[in-house]
Amino acid sequence: MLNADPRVLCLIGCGSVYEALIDDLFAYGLDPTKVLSHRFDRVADIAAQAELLLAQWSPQRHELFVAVDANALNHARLELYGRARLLGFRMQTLVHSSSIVGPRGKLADNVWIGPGAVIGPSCQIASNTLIGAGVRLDADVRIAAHGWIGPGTRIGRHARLGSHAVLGADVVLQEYTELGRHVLLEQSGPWHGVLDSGTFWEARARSEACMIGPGYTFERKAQS
Amino acid sequence: MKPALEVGHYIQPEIFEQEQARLFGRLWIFACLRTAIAAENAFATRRIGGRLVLIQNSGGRIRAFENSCPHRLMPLQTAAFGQARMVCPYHGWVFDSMGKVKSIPKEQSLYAFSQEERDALCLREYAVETLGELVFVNLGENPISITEQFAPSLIERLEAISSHFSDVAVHTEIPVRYNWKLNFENVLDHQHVPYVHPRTFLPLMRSVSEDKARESEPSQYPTPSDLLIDQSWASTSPIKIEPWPWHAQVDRYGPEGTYHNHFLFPNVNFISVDGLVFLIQQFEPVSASETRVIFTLCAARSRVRMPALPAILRGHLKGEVEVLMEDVHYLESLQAALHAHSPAVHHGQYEHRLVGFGQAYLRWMEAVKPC
Repeated sequence: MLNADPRVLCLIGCGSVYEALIDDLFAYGLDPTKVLSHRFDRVADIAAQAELLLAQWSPQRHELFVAVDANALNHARLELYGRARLLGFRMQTLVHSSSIVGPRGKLADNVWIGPGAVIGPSCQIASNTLIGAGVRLDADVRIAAHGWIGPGTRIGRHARLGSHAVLGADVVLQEYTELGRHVLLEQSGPWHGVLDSGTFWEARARSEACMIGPGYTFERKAQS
Repeated sequence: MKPALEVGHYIQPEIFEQEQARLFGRLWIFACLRTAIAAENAFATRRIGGRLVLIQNSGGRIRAFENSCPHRLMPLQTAAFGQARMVCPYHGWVFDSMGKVKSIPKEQSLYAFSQEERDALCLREYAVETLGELVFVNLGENPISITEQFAPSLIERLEAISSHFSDVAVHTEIPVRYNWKLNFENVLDHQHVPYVHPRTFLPLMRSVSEDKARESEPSQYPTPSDLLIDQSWASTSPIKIEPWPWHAQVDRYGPEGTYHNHFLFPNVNFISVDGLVFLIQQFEPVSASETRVIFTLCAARSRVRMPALPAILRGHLKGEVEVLMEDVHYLESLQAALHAHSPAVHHGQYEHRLVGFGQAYLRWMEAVKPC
């Protein structure tokens, strides 16, 4: 069924998710006549042009969806998403018709569920998180805001992912895995246990990298 | 120019053992950033000269101890960085800020140490010096003055540049299969850049005008020096990088468009890209043919909160690791090709720093000759 909301959806983005959406609007229940689109050629342009772009739309008449790939631990997407929210725009949640969201699942705003994804029961996906094609989340998985889950990734039940998580394609997180903030996993794993905030495993890296200092290896001192 | 070192210095396990004692056991070795252990009980662990070292913030003072409980020699900490009191995880011995045993669970019933035995129970402490935000450790019983190793002008410069460090950094340890000296020599030898890094590092240098680039090349090369103090030095060269909005939010070090390079004998190369990003790369010996390349990267401290700092640091680290891995490809091939009967190398005059490094190394190794 097509979206009956009279408001126009403004689809803004750069990268693979944006292209997937544009190519397949009907599968998300979107009426192409009620969709405006704006493609950025380079992620670097987003911060510079975001304000100007958003100024031409109104929160009363337009809804937004921001589809920027996982550049800079999703901060590039946050540039647009954050400004849009501050201006009072309502952000859409887009779920592909071939994907399944289990009972009691909670999807926040600006969440994208790609084709063929299976979101298990009681999963919670926070704002501005993009879930790729063919992803499988088992029951009670919680993903904090500004995440990116690459296609084919599988996440075991009760896993917890902190904000700005970036999982590459075909990554496997076993049940009860916990990821802190700003964790990037491009190697497939399987991963289990606890991965501290600011842990980076790049695709071909021989070893992990980790953030150190206040807020990571020790707590931030109280502000006097 | 005649090389100071022979092939045996890069492949013989006996030489490696002697290096550990005579070089890394006696010189000031970079241990960590002070910003990484800036809170009470924050710590870092390192392996220096074959010994596990615990660098601990004890009441605001940075101390270094052997990371080994006097009871059964269990390491007190196994993580590279963290925050915890000095407590042995094996039997719960607790140590005070001076490294003395403070309490032992069921001490009287289980251990019954005499007073003399009890007094001797303490962690072995090592000398610590901080140059700005750079923490150095010396394992020697009578350590040399740090000013014998680093000239006052260099110390002043390190203090000035490191005062711009952000409090958060990113750290990685990359295992590679070559002798640590090959990597230090590699960073001393800038002539490899066009051949090994044509698409990564070279474009940053090429984007500067030819005239400016020529200014950084000396007209005549000096004679190599074998003095310890001459092996650690700093240089600058022009660089041009793409501007990003965050650059305006931080306290840049030095004039715009400058690449800062510091060589800290024996095994640290500390660079700064335009005074905005700082990378300390250390070549930690693991064996005669293995090294751990330790990268610590931070940005210039910001004047405002920068939520994207982890992404910025990760992005720069990724680029620096990419450059390193280009070197690794060649240096691992070079190490694999070395054998006991390899011929001597042939240095050009531009490699005077590299020859000086070898000569100073031999002085500290007391002219140990390979078998």
